[in-house]
Amino acid sequence: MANLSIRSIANSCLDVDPPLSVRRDVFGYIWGTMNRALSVKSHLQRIKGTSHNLCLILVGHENDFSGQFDVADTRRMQAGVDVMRELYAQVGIGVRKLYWTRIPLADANGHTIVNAAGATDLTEEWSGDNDGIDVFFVTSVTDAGGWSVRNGPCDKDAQGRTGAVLELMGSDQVMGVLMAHEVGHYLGLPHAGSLTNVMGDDSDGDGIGSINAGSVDLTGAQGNTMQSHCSIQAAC
Amino acid sequence: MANKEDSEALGSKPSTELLDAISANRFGCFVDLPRLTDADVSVLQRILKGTEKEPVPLDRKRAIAALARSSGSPDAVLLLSDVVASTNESQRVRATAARLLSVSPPALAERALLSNLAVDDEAVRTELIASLRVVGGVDALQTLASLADVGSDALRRQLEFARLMIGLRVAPSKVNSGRTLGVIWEALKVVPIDSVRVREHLHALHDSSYGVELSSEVGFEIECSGATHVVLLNAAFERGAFLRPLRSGNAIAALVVLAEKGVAHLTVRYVVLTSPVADGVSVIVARGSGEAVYSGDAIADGAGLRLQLRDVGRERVPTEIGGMITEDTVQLELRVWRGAARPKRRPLAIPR
Repeated sequence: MANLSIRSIANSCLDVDPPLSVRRDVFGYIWGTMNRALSVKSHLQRIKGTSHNLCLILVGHENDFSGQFDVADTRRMQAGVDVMRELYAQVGIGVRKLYWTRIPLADANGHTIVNAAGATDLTEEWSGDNDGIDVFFVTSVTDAGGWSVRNGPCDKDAQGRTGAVLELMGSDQVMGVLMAHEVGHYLGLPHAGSLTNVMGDDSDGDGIGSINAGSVDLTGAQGNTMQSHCSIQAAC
Repeated sequence: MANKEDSEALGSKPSTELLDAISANRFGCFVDLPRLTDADVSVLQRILKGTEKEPVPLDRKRAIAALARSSGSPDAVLLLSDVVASTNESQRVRATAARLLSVSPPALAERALLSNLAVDDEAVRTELIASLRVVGGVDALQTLASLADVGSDALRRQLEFARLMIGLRVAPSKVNSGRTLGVIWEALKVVPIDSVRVREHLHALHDSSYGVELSSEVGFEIECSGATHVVLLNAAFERGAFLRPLRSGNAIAALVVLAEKGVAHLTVRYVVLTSPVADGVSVIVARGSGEAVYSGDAIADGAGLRLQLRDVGRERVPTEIGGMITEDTVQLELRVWRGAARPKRRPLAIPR
């Protein structure tokens, strides 16, 4: 078993040094405690392997929670990330760094409630650092749970949609499945034709995949596709 | 305070104008930067060479600026060149001297600039190349053509611009201004679609049509960045009478909807708003957020209206939309910028 020292992994994989808060600095969970059990050992194994980072962008958020999201909302986003981490671990992909950022309400420019066209406008106007896949949290997506682009670019200055756009929805589990689904598209996955798969079912052919809390499977072939995306970083 | 004895011993005395021009403590507010007299230039050259005592605390940047604008003599150019080369001078002074050589006689300046091109200070080298852009000739072009791996993007851009501008002076047929400056436009295909296709799009529209009854006969598709945009006209626009609704009053003339690959339903991205004006029609294309993204006019031209729109506001990709509208036809052309795009906005970090 490889060395799983928190300090050494925090330094080599996350660029953080002591004093460390494991929850905040190693998991990246800055929004307080969640009703989920965290395994430090599993997490370190995951982020030490091939991984990607996430730029989590809260649209219309204020630091004093007077904007679009309250404390419970941010904790649900955080729990969603934790669910997504478990789902991606099935195919050996870690979610390493979380860059939590916000678009102030005054700058949100009507992007708090979007449809497919609005999601494109939002990601064409804003983007996080190229080091991670952009995941925008909006108050509502009116024509789906979220929108992404298949096999999205790693250069955020590329034209078109350069991130995933999600609404805050359902339970922690649903939030995590939705996040894994939309980021899965970004990493190159199409809809799967199975409701038990993270990439869901689109048997009606409208381009919107159906998923639910039980859409948790990822196959080895899907993992191979994800692993080949430009945002996947080597083991650290 | 001038050292009266030294100045007089050398045969001339610094004037008030010279002292104002070179002092670290006295500043005149000159609308036109005054040129010094020949006598003052002589004094100033001796001061800068160190053969005459500084009559006042000296601002060397101001002093060389005064020299450069007052004299284009070989001595003055040589002195400026020595300042550029001297590592005893500050970067600010050396870079300024390099830039000021551009106002010296071109042949002298070019030699001085080229002789200093090997300096290891990027800020100074950037100014040398910027000056060669202005005064360089054949020799400069040959030297700059052989420079490789010049450093930062800013320096590389300055170098390419210098090659272009010198090229335009000495070999204009061999340059391509647009390519050098990254001015790249791409014409996009605007395809008129038949009524069957228009009806398919109307059926797939999964969004409000703003209360507009949309034409089931006329529409256009535009492929851009992997997505298709569909222009759906207001049903008031009927073939044989396209112009009447434009001229009769304010209107929502069209909706532009986004059709993504693999997604069966369409959503509205832009609304096209028109208003009659004296010689035609004013046109604004706005997002659902209320931001105007394209604006322009359709101006009377023969039997029709000639359309010309440009991007406005924060749109990242400059875009030109043109075309011709007659009673029977609507013809659209679209050009998008393929050079460097405007930067995106960055969200704020949330404190941990």
